[in-house]
Amino acid sequence: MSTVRRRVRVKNLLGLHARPATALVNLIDGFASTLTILDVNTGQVADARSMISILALGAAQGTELEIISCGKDSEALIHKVEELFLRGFGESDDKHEP
Amino acid sequence: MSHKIFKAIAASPGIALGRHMLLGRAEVAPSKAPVLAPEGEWECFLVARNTVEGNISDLKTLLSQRKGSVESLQMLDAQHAFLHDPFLSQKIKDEIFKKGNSAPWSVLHSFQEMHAILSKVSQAHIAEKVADLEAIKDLLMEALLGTKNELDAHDYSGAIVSAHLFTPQEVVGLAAAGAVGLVSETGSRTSHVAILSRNLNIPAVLGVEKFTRSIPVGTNLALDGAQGCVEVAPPQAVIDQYLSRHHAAEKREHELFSKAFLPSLTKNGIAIRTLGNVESSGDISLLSRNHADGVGLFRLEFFYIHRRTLPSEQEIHDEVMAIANAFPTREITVRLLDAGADKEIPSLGRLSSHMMKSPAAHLNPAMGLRGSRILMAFPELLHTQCRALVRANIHGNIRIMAPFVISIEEIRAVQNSVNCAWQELATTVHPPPPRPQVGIMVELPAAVAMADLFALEVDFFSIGTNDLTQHTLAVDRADPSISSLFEPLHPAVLRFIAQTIDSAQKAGIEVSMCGEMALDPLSIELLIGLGLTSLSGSPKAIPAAREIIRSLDSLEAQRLASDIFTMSSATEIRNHLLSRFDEKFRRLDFEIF
Repeated sequence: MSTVRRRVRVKNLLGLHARPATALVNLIDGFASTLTILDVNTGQVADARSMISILALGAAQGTELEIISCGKDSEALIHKVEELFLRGFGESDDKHEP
Repeated sequence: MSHKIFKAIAASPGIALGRHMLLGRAEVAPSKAPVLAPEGEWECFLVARNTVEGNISDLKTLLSQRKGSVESLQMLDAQHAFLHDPFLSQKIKDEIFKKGNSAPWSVLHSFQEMHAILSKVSQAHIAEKVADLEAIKDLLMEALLGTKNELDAHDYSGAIVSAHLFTPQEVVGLAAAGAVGLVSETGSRTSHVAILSRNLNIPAVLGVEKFTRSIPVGTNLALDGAQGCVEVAPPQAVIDQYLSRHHAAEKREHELFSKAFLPSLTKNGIAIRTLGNVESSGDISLLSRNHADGVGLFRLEFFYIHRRTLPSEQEIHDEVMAIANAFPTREITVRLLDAGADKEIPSLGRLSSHMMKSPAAHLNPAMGLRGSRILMAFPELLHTQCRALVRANIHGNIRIMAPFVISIEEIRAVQNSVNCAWQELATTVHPPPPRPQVGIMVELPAAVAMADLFALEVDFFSIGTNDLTQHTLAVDRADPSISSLFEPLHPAVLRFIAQTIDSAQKAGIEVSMCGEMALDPLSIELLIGLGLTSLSGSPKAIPAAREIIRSLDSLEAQRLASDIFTMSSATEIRNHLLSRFDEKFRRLDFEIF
């Protein structure tokens, strides 16, 4: 079992809203590892398997998050998640980033 | 929730302060005690979840074949994620297994908790997702309990209720349940819902986009139905303002009431009759309190929309008789059933499912199988009403009016039906009651064009301004995106009105107006100037209309009408009337509505 941590930033204009949250929930479905999302500033934590828990973070654009994965495929999972955040979950609003 | 102001369509005047509730999304109250062992209750939940899962995937399949449904598909994905949220499922499991509660109660309780968590999120577009959560909850509850949420299962007292769209039954039900205000995302000032809320005295603002999705349940709201204004989470200063406006309106209404008994004569002595549009004999006290000169429009639709079976001749007779008896010397104009359009009639679906359920019937109901067309398609429906009305005419004060007429054949069908009913009655009752007069609603451009010929065939005309405006301008009055185009003061509409009056006068038949425009304080002088002496609208509007009539001179009104007919712009006409109104009636401090 290995634990992996990464820092990511929310790029999406609308923050971590329903669409990115759905994408996260669906992604994690295919992995054995867990994924926890920590809001670095507020200390609030979300379980990325839960739509409600991700939305409850209320992470706006620019929020700094730590993603923590634990399990046998944690490396692969965290890599995928990081990629999603970097691509702004495929929403083309990078130009709006401050 | 921070303070927010929505401006939309002012549909029914009045001030309301209350907490926000969603129609049909409010809480049902299932029993907390389980019927089965925890395993059984859990199984019930799993079955319900499967059903909802099935609903969602059916919908996804359907939508994925259509272009432009990306957003809807994303919404369904989000709903799917809510349905399978592990926290939510765990919470429900704990309620069932650890606390020994029933599945429905556990689902409801767990969703309420999740709802509370999400509505605290400060990003509005995330908090909005509670609507999807609520949708899933409703589907689960429906699957668990086997019924849809019923209106009367909730406590709406003191609430301002919002919905995407209200049905007329819901408006009546909500008023009875003590709701203090209504907000809908669709509708217009002349939609059935608006008319009903005005008659029921319940303030309403319509056409507020995305309201149900963006405003959490329980938020405090302040609503001004005359201004078309809804304020979310109003600060104390705003609440005080609303309260003082409420008191001012009450005082004004009281003053008008106290003068309503005065005759409705112009300054130069022309009598103008002010009548009420009503739905049932339940409005009798409203009519007499406001000193209505009669009923200009008794709608029969209400016998039909409340129920799954057709009303009997006796039921219609008794209801109409109640009003005819209450005002034996005043005229009661009864409009034959105008079903279709925004009023769906459940029992007619059964009468002829192939006609009512054909796709064409739903393409544009405002231009579909409605009004006289339904009466022609189902002659027995027409005969039942005519028999009931002919029998109810013992005081000779009942007039029968055919709706949505475009052809002489429709007029003759109604006349024949009335004649048959009267002859039938004359063989059993001696002496028979007088045969009621038969007239038509002039509410379609075709009827205006034919008015000179129709006037030779019928006993009276009544101009229906709501449909006349909608069909002359081709502006759907239920479509909020073009609600500003719905303008009864448009010169085209005014010309049609003048033409109708002219045809009636030439043929020597009576002509009146029923419709929201008739008693609109802004329009009254112009209508009198055009030659109308009988105006019918919401009974609530009568005292103010009479006060205005008493201050007018009919010759001055005629000059106003000729001035207006030189203007080619609706905006110019409205502004002209507004400034004139302001000048003349500022002291009366009316709400122009």
